[in-house]
Amino acid sequence: MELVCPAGSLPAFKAALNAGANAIYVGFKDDTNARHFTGLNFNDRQAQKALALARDSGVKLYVAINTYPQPTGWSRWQAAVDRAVELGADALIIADMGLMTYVKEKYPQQNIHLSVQGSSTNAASLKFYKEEFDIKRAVLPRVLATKQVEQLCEKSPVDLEVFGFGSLCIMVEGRCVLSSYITGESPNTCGVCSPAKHVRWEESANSRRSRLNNVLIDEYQHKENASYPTLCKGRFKVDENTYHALEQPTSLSTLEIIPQLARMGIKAIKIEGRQRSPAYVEQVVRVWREALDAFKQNGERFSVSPQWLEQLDKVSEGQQTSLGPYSRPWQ
Amino acid sequence: MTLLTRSLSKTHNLIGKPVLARIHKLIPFRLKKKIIEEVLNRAFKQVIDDGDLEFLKGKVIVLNLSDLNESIFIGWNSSLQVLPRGEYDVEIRGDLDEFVTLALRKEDPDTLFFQRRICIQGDTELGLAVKNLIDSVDLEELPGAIRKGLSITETLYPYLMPSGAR
Ligand code: SF4
Repeated sequence: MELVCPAGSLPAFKAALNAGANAIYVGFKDDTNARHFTGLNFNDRQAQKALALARDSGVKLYVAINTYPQPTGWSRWQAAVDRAVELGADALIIADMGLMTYVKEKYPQQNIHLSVQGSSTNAASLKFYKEEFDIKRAVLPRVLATKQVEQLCEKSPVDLEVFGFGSLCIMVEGRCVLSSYITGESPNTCGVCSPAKHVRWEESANSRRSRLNNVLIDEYQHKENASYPTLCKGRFKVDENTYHALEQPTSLSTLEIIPQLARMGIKAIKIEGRQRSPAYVEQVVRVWREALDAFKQNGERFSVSPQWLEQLDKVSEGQQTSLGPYSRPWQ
Repeated sequence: MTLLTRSLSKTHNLIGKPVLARIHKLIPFRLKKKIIEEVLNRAFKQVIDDGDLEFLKGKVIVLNLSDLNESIFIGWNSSLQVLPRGEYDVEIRGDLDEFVTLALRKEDPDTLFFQRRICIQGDTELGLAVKNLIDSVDLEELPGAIRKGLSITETLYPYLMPSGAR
């Protein structure tokens, strides 16, 4: 299985290369990708450098252009495609059908991967994307249970990629507009959930509070671990109880089901986190490389090493990992 | 932890840091300003050349080294500048050790933040942008002297800060 790793900067790119990535995905410095933060992502010079490094080590480079073009910015999305093709990206990760049409008409040879933001969860939808846009691969949303992924693998006309590790973002993934309820912005429209300009951290003697556009998301007591201030992971008062009513701050980790995923025929595993640092990329990719190599060597006798878990838990949101929806028997 | 590590780290905490805090108070502002500006502008040269620091215009960032009781005010006006104390937009606060850990890329900044070892107050977007810019500096391309400094710190790191590698 191909290990697909994130890079939000050149040093992160190098970290992924050194730690054993098979493919690395990047974005440009604008709202054409779903990690649009100041100071993050690649300008043309950096992208070219990344490509040269990738070619030297036989690693693939993918460019994420995975947000939905807004009426005022269509030319920006076209330009991003033009730049990525000119660069020589091995694939473009796209969610929007209009943009896919643009690629197919102008660059019929260019590989397209369907982004997770496209939220394709059944065989009919995958078939549609294959027929209309000739996508080569689809990234499955983190909402499916193992059984469902297995059924999809049997029927899918294209290669499938699943998330292996990263912050859990689960609300009808790819279609979540929860954050726009308080900020007017959401991942698909503006490239960010909980935009930093709306985030405020308040430190006091014994607690830390997070606010999103002034709405209190959570309050952490002394020494309690904090998490990303997304609306879905806040603590809310429901009746008389205050708790994580929607989702716990935790990270998804599917290390333990590597053999299952391989058996099903999953072709690639994606690590989330272009917004994270080179140190994170290095630590997570290294663990996954070791795990995939161990699986290759030991096959079905593969077992998860406690050190791997410890490493991953440390950099996880909420300092814990779970199998997320993969483990939900009721789906 | 070996005995050597333990004693070195103890020395660092009991003597090193207080001494550092003292020395640091003795250096006149003008000299400190000069040294820090020199290092910053060299370290961020590529980022500056790419025009990626323009968003800092008119903003003031404070690095607060809480254990040394020292705050460094940084601004931008065609080059990075150390400013006298005053109003600011965002404050990044933590112990010296945490900043060294970050400079050496030993730990992920988000992890330190979630673990409450680093605090960010004020304009979060600005703080995040600064974090991203620091992450985008390619250590391999830093000028020789700075690289050397980092590599010496790196060698000493496990001895001085065994806790840093938590
Ligand atoms: S609110 Fe939560 S589920 Fe929705 S996009 Fe943000 S992180 Fe994802």
